[in-house]
Amino acid sequence: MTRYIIRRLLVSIPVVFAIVLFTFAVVHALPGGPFSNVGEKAMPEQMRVIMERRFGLDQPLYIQFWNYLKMLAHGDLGPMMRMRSQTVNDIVSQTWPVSIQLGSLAVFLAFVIGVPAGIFAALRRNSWVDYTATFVAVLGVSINNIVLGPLLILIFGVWLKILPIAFWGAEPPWILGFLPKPTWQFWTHAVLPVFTLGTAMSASIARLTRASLLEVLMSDYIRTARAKGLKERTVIIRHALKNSLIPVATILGPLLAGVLTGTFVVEQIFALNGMGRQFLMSIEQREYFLLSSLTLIFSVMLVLGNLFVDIIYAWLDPRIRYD
Amino acid sequence: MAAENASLEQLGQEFGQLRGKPRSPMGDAVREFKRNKVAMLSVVFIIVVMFLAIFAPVFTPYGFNVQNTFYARAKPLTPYVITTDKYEMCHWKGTPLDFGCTVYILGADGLGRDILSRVIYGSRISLLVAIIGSSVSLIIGTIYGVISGYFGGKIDDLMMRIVDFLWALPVLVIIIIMTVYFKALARAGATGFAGFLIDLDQAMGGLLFMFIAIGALSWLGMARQARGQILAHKKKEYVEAARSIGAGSNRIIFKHLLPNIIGPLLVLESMAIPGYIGLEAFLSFIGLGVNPPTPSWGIMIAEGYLGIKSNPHLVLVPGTALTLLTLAFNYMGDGIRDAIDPRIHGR
Repeated sequence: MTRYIIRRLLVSIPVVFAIVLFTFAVVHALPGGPFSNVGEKAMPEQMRVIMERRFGLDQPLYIQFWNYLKMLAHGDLGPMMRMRSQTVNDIVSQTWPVSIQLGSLAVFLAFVIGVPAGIFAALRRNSWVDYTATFVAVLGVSINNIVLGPLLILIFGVWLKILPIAFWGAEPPWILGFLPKPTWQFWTHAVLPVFTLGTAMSASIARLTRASLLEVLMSDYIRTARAKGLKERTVIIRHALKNSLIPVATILGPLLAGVLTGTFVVEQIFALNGMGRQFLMSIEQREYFLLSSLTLIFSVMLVLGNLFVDIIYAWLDPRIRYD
Repeated sequence: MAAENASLEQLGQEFGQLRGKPRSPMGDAVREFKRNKVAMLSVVFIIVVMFLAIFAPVFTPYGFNVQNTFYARAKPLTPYVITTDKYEMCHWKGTPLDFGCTVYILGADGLGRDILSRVIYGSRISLLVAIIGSSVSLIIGTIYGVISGYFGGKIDDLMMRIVDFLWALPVLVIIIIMTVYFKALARAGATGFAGFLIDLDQAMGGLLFMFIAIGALSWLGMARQARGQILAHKKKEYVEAARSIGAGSNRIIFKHLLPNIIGPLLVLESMAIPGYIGLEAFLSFIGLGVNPPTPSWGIMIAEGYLGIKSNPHLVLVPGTALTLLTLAFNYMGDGIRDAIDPRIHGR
């Protein structure tokens, strides 16, 4: 297993490298730079040249990329070119925890709601519980984040006035670098964004859990377990459940990608200062270093996430062996 | 002897009646699908939406781009002041705006544009993305997967490494960067082939570049699935039999393999359609989708959600449309899966 993990990590290095190279090249190829007058008052020509020289933008692209790699090797994600009171490291250390907290709470919520809902629906097949759960699940899959977010804001923020509708309830400094202070304010602010992000996920998890549990319950070994007189509860909890979760683990991969998409939207709707919002802003402002570094972080997170999914998969299904 | 023959004939006829018409797997699937009421209802809904989208100019009271700022943010179904002296000139179709008459069934947006008209025109974008996204992904993915799976060996290795590599990319990040790049190019202007593409994109309201961005990365899952299906089928007896009577690769692939593997691929593709619709709405929402004033549901939501407190209908109307269409495609996908996948039969 250890060898497998190490090999996977080694294989992913060129992938991450290629992504960063691609991003770096495309972003620099974009018309306009951080100091050109896109939508702003024009900067005097000499000043622009000076500023660009200061950040090395006048050099050939491969030299710029080489310098960027050298910076990365020193743990420096680069300078901010417009807001020079901060560095990219500052921005990332402020915003990364917000996205991580949002994403992990949403995934947690998705499993806490989705798995039990799927199990109940499968056990009470063709009852009103099943029909309701199935319908809600399809609806949950179908409702887009960009619709659900404003809808929740409207219901809980505007009409009922019981939940805050914007901003994240915790701020840096973070505990241990990424954990929020678990204050009341944090939890109330987290409810709506987390539900917005988690609903679709929990719905797809519920659908998958239901389908796979139904399939497992029809298999021979479950009949054997029942035939030897085990209690239904034992049959389901000890025998059926773990196997029925294997297909659920397979969507963890797409799920992680979905979290990424979701955070872009949710951060935008709820005005959260997370990485997704910084990413969109960095494109607009041509903050080359911020953009490249955020892409790098997204890719690394995706690679690690997929690796994690494969490990969980092997743990759930002993037939799978990596070597 | 003659009597025996007659009874045999009769027996044969009775047997024929018992057997009924010969049934094909495709016919079975269609029959199964028709029994699924929710799926049929969804298909009807989608067809109605397509009809509305194609004949949008007929069904919409106003153009999607006709502004009347006097009625900006008009609420749905509230009575509007129509001055009596112009009442005669106010009719449902034509250009009533010219006479200062307005009837907004679903209200108007911040620029006084009729929301009903914009939602109907917006369905064009969503449907186009659904159709083009799925066809591009199906065609490229199937061709790629079939070639890779059928010929195997080094070709297969290389082609699958490429897919693995692309699979590991943060697709959304790449799509965003690509779209931004295309849009910036379009603003800067270009000549030659790039210029032609930019003109085409402008003519399509910014759709072309979105299709390229979505299509470039959406076929990966399809390619894997197609390859897997080919691998599962190509060692089967019927392929051996076809080869033994001298059928070439082309004939085996198109005549024997493709009809057998297309079912699961269609299932996968129909399940992916809601994703394309969602992706388009998302891209338009963050301002990277179609160019205004082309109405897209994502853009309408983006324009409306900041003022949701006072004008919820600006978000609720396009939001409902988006949700309903996605819901219909989801139910249709489920129906196709249940109809084609024999394991789920009778569940």
